[in-house]
Amino acid sequence: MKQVSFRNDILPLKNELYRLALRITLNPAEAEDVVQETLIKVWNRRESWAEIDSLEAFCLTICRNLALDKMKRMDNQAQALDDTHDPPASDRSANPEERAVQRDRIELVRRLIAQLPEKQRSCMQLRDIEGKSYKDIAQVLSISEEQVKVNIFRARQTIRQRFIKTENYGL
Amino acid sequence: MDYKYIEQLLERYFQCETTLQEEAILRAFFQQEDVPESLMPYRDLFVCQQQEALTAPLGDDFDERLLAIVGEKPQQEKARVVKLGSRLMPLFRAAAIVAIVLTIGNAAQFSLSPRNQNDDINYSEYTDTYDDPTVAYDQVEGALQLMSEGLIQSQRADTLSAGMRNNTDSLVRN
Amino acid sequence: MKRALCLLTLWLATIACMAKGSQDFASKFMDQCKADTSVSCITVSPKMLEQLVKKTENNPDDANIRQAITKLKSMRVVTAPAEYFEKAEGLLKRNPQRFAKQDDYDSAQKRGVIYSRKNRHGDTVELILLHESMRTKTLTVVNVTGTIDEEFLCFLYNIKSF
Repeated sequence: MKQVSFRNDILPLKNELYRLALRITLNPAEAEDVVQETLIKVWNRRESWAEIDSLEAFCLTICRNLALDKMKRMDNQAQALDDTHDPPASDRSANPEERAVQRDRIELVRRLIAQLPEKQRSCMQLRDIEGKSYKDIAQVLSISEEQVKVNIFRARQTIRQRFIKTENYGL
Repeated sequence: MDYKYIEQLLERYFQCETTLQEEAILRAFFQQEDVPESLMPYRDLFVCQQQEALTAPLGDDFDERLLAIVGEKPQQEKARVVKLGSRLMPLFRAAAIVAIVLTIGNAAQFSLSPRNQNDDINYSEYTDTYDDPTVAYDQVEGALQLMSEGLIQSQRADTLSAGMRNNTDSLVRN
Repeated sequence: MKRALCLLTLWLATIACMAKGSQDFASKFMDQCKADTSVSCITVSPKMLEQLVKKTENNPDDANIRQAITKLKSMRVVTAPAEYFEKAEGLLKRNPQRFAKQDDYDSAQKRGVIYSRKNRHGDTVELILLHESMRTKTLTVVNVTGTIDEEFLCFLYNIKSF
């Protein structure tokens, strides 16, 4: 039976958990709190580590649930991830810095994702960024694989329509 | 250069029909410098995904705090490098396959000489060595696997020495 | 009459030459090694490849191989002692207007090169692998012809699992 170590097997998941928590709470400070709470909670369940099939899925599930709880308490609405960095509305043609323009566009993608319903956001996060299978995602969200697929489909379609459209016609 | 394969992958991506590996191929494809005009609108979406995957803001101090809370003493540990067998591998494979596709697709054209005008192979001369499809299949499978290995080996040598070093560094875990 | 016959023969000969078409690399190499019993060649014809595609219709495990085969018209595999590597590559190198080197690899246990050939329309129609194994001391030449496009390369690439 594999010996699970908190330091070597669970703690290293911290950034993956952070990314999911951030995707849900849209707030870096809250996200870090969620990760800390998650890891402590997982630590408190160490008696059952050996019996858990996928510790990663286990941690992600707890992380997501804690993040959702936090959101309910904070009564969050979808906000821009970084309020202090609003790109100017109409500088696309004038901006000589290619990189700055690209930064803005990537920020735009983030904003679009942030506007999606939480389930779609989380599914997209776990698939497109963490590279998880539909099966794993279904386990973390406690939904069917088919529902995972539907959520991701809708998320991708929305991004496509809004983002590609914005690309073509400008903000 | 014909980007039909990438365009097909894109369509399937938005229809939610792609595998994880195909999605990795798309991300790797859009990382490169020369994305054709027609595909540019999609680039930022995939670049964003790639960037997000590499954000790792929680560092050593977070570890120390957590370990203190759960009562484990923080040790002097060497920086942990992500083993190639984990998440990095699909990315590596995708980058390599993009390189293969672009390389062989862009191979220099040889000049036409009159001798080459009838270049079509005369297949009527082909006599099967094996009449049994099962045996033939085994041979074909083995040969294709060898070819597959060869492609990967040759790309690995190139890729490892070049861009991949950047990615490995940024994924060093503390 | 004699002149007409001559002309007819010449015309027929030309047609025959044109109809003969070109050979794939493996067959050219085998011609060079005609008398050599240590060199052997396996041929898989277009008809056999079609059969193999049908055969694997319902097997999901073979998806990548099957997909790769659908793009192929022929396959030849030549086996020879390792020393023949230079001879084989020499034949490729001496025909630069026909074969272009794509890549190579070299390690303690094996080395290899990959060449390709395009037709007059610019499509890659032939792919050749020369693979030498230091362990078994053999040279394997894998020579496929068909539609060697990006899709084929992707299927081929996905066949090998880590």
